[in-house]
Amino acid sequence: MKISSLISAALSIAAVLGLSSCLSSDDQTQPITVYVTVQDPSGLTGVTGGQPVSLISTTGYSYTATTDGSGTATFTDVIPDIYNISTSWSITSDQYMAATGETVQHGTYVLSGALASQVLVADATRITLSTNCARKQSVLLSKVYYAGCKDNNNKNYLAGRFIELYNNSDEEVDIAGMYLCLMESGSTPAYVISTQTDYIYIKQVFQFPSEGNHILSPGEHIVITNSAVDHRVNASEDFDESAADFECKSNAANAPVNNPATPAMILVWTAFTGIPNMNLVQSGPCGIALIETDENPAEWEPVYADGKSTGTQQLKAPAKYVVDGVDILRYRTDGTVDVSTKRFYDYIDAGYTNITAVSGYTGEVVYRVVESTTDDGRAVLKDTNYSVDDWACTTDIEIGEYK
Amino acid sequence: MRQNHSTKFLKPHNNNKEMKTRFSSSTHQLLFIICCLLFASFCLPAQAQDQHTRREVKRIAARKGGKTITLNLVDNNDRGPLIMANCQLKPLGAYAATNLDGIATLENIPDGEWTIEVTYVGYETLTRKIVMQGEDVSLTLSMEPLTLELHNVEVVAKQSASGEATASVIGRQAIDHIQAFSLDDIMQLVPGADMKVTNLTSQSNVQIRTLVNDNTNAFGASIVVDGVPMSNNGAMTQGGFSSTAFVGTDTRQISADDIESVEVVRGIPSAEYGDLTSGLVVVHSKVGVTPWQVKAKVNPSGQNYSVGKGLHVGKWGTVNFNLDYAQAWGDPRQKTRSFDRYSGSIGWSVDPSRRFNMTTKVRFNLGKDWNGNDPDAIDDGTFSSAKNQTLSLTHNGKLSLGLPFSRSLTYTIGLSLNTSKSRQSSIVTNSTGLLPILTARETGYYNVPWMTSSYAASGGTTSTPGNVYVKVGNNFFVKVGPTRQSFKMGMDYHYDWNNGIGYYNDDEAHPLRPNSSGRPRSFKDIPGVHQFNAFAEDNFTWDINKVNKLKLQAGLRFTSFQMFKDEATYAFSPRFNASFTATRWLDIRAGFGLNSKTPGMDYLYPDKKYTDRVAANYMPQDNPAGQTIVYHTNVYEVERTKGLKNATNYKTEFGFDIKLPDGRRMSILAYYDKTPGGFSSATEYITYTASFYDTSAGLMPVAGGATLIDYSNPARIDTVFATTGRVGNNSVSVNKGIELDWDLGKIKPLQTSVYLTGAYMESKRWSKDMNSQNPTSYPARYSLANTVPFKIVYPSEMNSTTYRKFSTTLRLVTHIPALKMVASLAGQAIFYNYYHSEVPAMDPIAWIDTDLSYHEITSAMLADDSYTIKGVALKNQRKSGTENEPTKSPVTWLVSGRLTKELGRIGGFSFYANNLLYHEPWKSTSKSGTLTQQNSGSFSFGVEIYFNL
Repeated sequence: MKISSLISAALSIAAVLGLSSCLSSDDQTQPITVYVTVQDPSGLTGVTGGQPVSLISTTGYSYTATTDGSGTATFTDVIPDIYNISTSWSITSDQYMAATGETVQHGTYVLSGALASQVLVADATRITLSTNCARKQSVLLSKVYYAGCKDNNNKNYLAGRFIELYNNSDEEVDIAGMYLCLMESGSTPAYVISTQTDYIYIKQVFQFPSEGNHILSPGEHIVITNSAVDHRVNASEDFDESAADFECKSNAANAPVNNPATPAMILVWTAFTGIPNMNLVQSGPCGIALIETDENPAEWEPVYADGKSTGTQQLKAPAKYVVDGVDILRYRTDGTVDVSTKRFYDYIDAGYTNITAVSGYTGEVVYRVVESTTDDGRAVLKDTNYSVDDWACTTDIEIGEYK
Repeated sequence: MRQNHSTKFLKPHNNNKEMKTRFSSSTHQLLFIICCLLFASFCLPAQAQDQHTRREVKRIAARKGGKTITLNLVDNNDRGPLIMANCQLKPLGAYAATNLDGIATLENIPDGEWTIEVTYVGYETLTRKIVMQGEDVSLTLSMEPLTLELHNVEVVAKQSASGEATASVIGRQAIDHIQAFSLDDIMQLVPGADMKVTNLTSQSNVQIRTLVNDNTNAFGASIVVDGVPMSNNGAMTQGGFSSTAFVGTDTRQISADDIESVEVVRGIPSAEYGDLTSGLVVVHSKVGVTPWQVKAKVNPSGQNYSVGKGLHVGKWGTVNFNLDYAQAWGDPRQKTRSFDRYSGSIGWSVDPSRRFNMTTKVRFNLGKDWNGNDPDAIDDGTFSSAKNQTLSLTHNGKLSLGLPFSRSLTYTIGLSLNTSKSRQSSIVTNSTGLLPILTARETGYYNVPWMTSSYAASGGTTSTPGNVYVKVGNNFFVKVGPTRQSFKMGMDYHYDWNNGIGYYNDDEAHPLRPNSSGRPRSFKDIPGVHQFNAFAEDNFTWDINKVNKLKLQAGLRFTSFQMFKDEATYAFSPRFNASFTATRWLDIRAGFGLNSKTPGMDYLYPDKKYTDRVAANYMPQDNPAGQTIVYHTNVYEVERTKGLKNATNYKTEFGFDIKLPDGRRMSILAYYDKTPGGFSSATEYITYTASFYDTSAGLMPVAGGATLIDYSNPARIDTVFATTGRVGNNSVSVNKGIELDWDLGKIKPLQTSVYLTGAYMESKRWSKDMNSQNPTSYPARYSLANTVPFKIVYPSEMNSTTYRKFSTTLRLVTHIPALKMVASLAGQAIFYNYYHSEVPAMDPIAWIDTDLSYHEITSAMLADDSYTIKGVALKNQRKSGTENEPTKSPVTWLVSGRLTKELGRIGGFSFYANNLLYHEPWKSTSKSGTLTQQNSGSFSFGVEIYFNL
């Protein structure tokens, strides 16, 4: 062998060894420790401590820890990933009065906070989680079927979509006069929630009439639909809504069948000429808000999307009147949900829910999950203002069914 | 003014008489004339053949008092005569074709220095200077067959000469080199055009000097095949005006293998051509003696086979034929689309007498599109297909009279019979669970059937447009001192009709389009359209001195359409092209011209406008017998579009041609094209009243029985706005830019020529139609009733879209004659790609009430925040805001390589690879952070092999 060849081989071996020496077992992924400190909500003091905090990653890792006396929850051996962080607990009205000094009506108050898509890769990461406080509502949005399905010829079918409300309290509630609102649903939000917190933009407002089934007993539900008929005839996967409580009626040329026997929701305002019934978007976004106010929503200011002078006008609604809201976001082709398109502030819904199809037509229903069951068998639905936890999605649920 | 429009309905127009006479009178007469001319043509050759001898050549040459050029044209290899070759004397325009002995005579030629140009299929174009000095001239010219052995090959588009219409001439070698399947592929050689992948599975029209698909631009791109324009005036679309419907001529149907050359006129065309706006594509098919040629082209998405031959049939002249088959399926992984093309042509060219030359060509083309489920997918019976067959005839004759004011008479006859049948089988979606079946054809209230679920339906459209074209022309020239003028003048007549039955459903109870755009309309009921044109043109050349020269082409064209009828249109189109040779190396060129495109049947005679609205909708679920749906249908008989004008295009050009040593040249041309009256829908309102019935009034439910309706007792009477469906001249488009066409010469050591073409283009479009909309934020009761309280009017011509692009294509062509090989590498870069939709702030200027009265909105009203119109706040109608941010795409480039190699005289092969480096990067635009793949789908390759037998 020539000397030059020997030198060349030696250099090669040295190079390989040199590169190998750069590798270290420390470069492997290491579990980390994360500290999450829960803050008291604005105006309340001394309510933190002993609350459960959860970390849920988009790839399936899940951890729960409880806050200590200083409000900090410590998570050890956490696999680095992108996590949604949330906490939620409830206090009684007595605890609320003690924390605020205010005198309030009897009820339950929910404290919750959430942070979406937090990149947790560094050890000893410290996160501060702010929280909001809201009175636990008696009437809740409990199901939204906006996806539509395929009919018996495997063609798109949308007529059977509905919204369900549920009386989650132990008292009778009269919903007459309340407003069911559909949030604006452009692919780009018409407003950015970080720039304002007082208003939401809505595209349609319907009022519950004082006829029909407007008084809900504890645990009773009502269904609002565009077409109160048995849709299983056309689409076997769909629902029998012939017993729906209210119908958003339309005489437009492309409207579904209206059932004369079903009381009509009162159309107060619509952003679309010729669409007087619910304009649910089968692919999302499809946020819904339940509003209670003495004001006349028809007199609220119609506005274009921020920074636009054309397009569709929405109604600028004071967010303070929202009784319950669920942020329903679009599912993307890459299997994620674009949380940057959220429409609700954290004190209304700090999370979101969604179907798991990009275009809809899957028969999926998003529904509020059962938190507990009372002694008399009444389901109590989860209401933490964090829909990621409160809501789920399925194709296997019926109207009036809770699980 | 809009407020003058009455709310009354027009009576249906009775076209029956016109229908009966439409085809029978004029078309039959024309067909008779054509038959007589053809018959005469067939009889003449026998009388004339004996005169064609070489002795006669000498006799002609020695004719008393005549200064005659006699050309004897032979093949350079075998010295055999070339018959039916075109010989033209420039700039006089004198013309002759060689006879059976290869001899052509040009008579009464004045003294001077002229250029003879001889073209012949399969041979290199021959040009030769001739000096006439009071003597007859007799020349024997030998032509070289086109082969890669020659030192000159043209595999790129060639720029036209200064002083003529700005055009790109694409010859046979260039067509072969790009392995074109159809005319569509050839168009990519035009400066500014994008390199693209062959795709026969979707229709393609010609878009000239525009960056956006524009219906007027495509409709006004004229394709002339062997002297006869492929008329699209008889093409019809179903329903009302659509700016997205395919218009223009489908270039897929023109097989590339039967083409000898293509001239794409982007500038101001000769006055001889008309009925166009954006430009002109002149296609010359093969005529003359050629060897058997068998060709096969294959690429992953298609294949094309052809066989052709041009043969000498003795005293009967030459006969050419070409048979061609192409098949394409788009993406080979998903065979959900396919296209099959069968085409054939047979041509006959003959000199019936020494002074008379004529060429006749008959073509057949059958194109079949299919679109359906992938063979691996569930077959639910849905598909769409289209079959388009055309039989056409072109006949050109030239009579050399040799008279002072009629050197030659030309005539052209064209006949085209087309049948387009589209079929569709689909499952009609019924996502709302209630689909009324609306079929009413008269105004009134109708109980309508309905479907609650989706259903299978089938049907189609049959359109059979036809066209007759006759043209006569006269040419002569005058030489006065240093000036020479070549005049041509003529007139032509077109007649277009359509005998199709139009749209139909196989089962009217299950219609394919159960709404207003699905009402059948027989195309037979639409009057045929007549067009008469006349033109005159002077091609003026002034040799001021040895260096300076002025060339001017000045023409005027008169166009009349549906003469003497109410809807007639007329246009005068002056056209000028000029060039001035300022120095030996610099030509300055300029041009200005008007082009005029007639509306065609589709735009001139729009369909009736159907407006349907619910009158009663009562669907009790407990009484199926009582379920009823009543619709009110309003039928507006659209007037023949009175006031519709031709779409006129104004073209202005200015540029320089710089001639450099060694044949290099640089051409820079700036253009400005404006079409201020392109075809578009025209907003014109009518209002009418329609009643609504519900259980509070009018509807009387009967327990267990059918619901009764008292039509005299409506619950509500709505006043409804509807548009009339008129077509207008409201689309405005401006295309401007700078085109580069540079021949940078040959790098001799590398035997490589360098060409650079490119263009900076801008296309801007807006509408001058009345800008009216529904108001926003009006009370919900209007939405419930599906009405609007009024229409709000904004300033017109404020919204616009602008596209800009700067792209260049650098071609390196390496030609090695010794190897009979030419290879080219083309790199195209799009340096700048811009889009901007301008939507400025606007205040309303007026509102239109339900009685169609027009009310202006003053600034005082706008200043008053509490001002309302019929209860609707005016302040909500003001549009204030920011402009949309322009979108700029990143720089993209791609490279393609092509190789053509001859294998002796028996044939050769070509290979190409597009996007050779597979450069498909992911990049984002200036506006969006989303990454999108550039050059997506541009990678392709293919091979062609051919044999000459």
